[in-house]
Amino acid sequence: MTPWRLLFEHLRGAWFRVLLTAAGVALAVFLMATLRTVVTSLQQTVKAAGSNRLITSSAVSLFVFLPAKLENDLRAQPGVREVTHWTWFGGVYIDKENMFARFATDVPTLRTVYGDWSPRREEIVMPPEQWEAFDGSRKACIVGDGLIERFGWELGETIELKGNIFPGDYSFDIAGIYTPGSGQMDSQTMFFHWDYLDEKAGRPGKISTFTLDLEDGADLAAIAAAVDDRYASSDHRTRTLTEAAFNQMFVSMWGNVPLLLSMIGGAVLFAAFMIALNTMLLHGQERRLEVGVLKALGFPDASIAALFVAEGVVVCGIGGLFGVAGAHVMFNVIGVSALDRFFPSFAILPETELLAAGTAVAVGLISGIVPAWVAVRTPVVDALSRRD
Amino acid sequence: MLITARGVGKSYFRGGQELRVLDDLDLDVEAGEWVALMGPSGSGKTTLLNLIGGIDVPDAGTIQVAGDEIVGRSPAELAAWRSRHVGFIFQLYNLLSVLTAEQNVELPLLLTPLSRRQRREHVQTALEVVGLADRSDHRPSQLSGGQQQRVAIARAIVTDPSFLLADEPTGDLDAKSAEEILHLMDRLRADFGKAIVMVTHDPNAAARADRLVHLEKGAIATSEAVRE
Repeated sequence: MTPWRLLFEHLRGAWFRVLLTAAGVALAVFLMATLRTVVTSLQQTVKAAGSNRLITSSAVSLFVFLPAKLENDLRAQPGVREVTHWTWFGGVYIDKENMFARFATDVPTLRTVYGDWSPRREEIVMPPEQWEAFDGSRKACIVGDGLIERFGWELGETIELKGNIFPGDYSFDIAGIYTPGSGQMDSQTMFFHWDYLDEKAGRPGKISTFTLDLEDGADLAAIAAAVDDRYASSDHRTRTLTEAAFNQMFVSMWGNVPLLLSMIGGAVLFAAFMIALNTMLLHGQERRLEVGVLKALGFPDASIAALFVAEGVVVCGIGGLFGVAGAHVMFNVIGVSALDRFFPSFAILPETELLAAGTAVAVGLISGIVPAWVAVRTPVVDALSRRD
Repeated sequence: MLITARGVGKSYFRGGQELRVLDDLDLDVEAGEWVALMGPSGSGKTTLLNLIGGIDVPDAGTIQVAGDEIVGRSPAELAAWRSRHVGFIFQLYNLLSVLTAEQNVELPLLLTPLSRRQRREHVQTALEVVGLADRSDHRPSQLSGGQQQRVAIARAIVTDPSFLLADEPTGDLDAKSAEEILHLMDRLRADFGKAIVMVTHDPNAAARADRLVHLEKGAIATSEAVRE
């Protein structure tokens, strides 16, 4: 037998208490990791933004369109390499519940800015023949692999959408399936030809946002200011932001939700800490006599304290491990499609896993230190005295 | 002389009042001697036992064991000293319920540099001495009161301490089990030369000792030889 055998026997002897405490910590760590991942996923969209791209939208609101005629004008701006555009379609696929992003775009420039023709990181990863097929048919569309998984679509399948912002019945043939090249792009977006939309809508010439792909070394701030100054006195004032700032604007729409989520995560963890601490203190009280015996036999205070601290760390560590493993399997292996609709990539980061597991161990450490301190401070004679 | 206590005093404070438990007490215990401490409740028997065992410290006086002064030592030094010199036998056995008899007996040996094999041999020997070698894998809840006390005695002797301190070792046992325990303690004294200081309320138990020390109000009232 080693001193740790005593720890093991205690854990085995009180397996139900250990199980409940570890389960409580596991649940808390799982929730904390989940809430933290919501925050990091939001931040990821900002971090993954291209450093050479500007987004121009209406200065009034994202829901106000800009005229399509601006495209060539923007392309002519010094420092601008290419311009593509996205227009929010809205629409309904069978039922309103089947929400996913649908954008009308210009295929060649989309490919040049985000696809395999881009000299930079490929954000929309798709075989060239599928790009060709997409470009070759006005009714063609491409969809992310997340949508394929969600709706069980196949390449070549025709899908029907009912327009609301642009009323009418629309039918699209799936010509390509892309995978996101980074956290900038999500896997649940559909792109189709803007020309098709514009024609069916009676040629209103409306664009939601223009993406300006800049030359290497271009001064983003200067170009953004120049663009906005150019249209400042027109009836379609623009607001030009870096892609990161544009994404940040969406994150900001969440308001203080990330902070709130962090606070909830902290509160959950604090509750778990209190549960673990209370359990360990009660257990310490139950083992008061044992502490007296060990002290009388000559065990040093440090050894007795180590047993309590180790027990706290082991119990909470096991809980933390299961909590982190559960979150990892759920978000990184199985995936939760409901979350994928809101976040381009909802995946728990290694640093979040480390933080959650480390926090669990810290909770165990502190909840073990308190009864250990009580045990060390209790005189042998008092610990041995019966209280009946 | 194995144990020499001189001028030992001890007070406790209860409810703001000083309670003098031991007052200028002298006691000598020879090697291999069995001393029984008797007296009314509050006379200081258990306190004296605790002081001799180094689990409590006196306010005044000196206590020497085999020539070594134990008063004034730090808690850590006292703990190390106890592990080498003292074997404790408690009234309610105080075995750890999650450990088997063998593991309970092995506990004090974890503080020694003995190898695992050597520890096992020592444990086996101690359990044979108390007649429980065949119950080594039983947990306390699977043993009778008498058997638990025998395991506790095996735990007390496994490190071959200088002396044993027993606080009412038969106080919670039936007559038959008590007799077995007293017989066992007699063997430890006679065959292994262990000095024993025992607190008891039982005249039959006291009659098995070499000397009976009667305490009253924190002082020795009488000290008389019980048997030759």
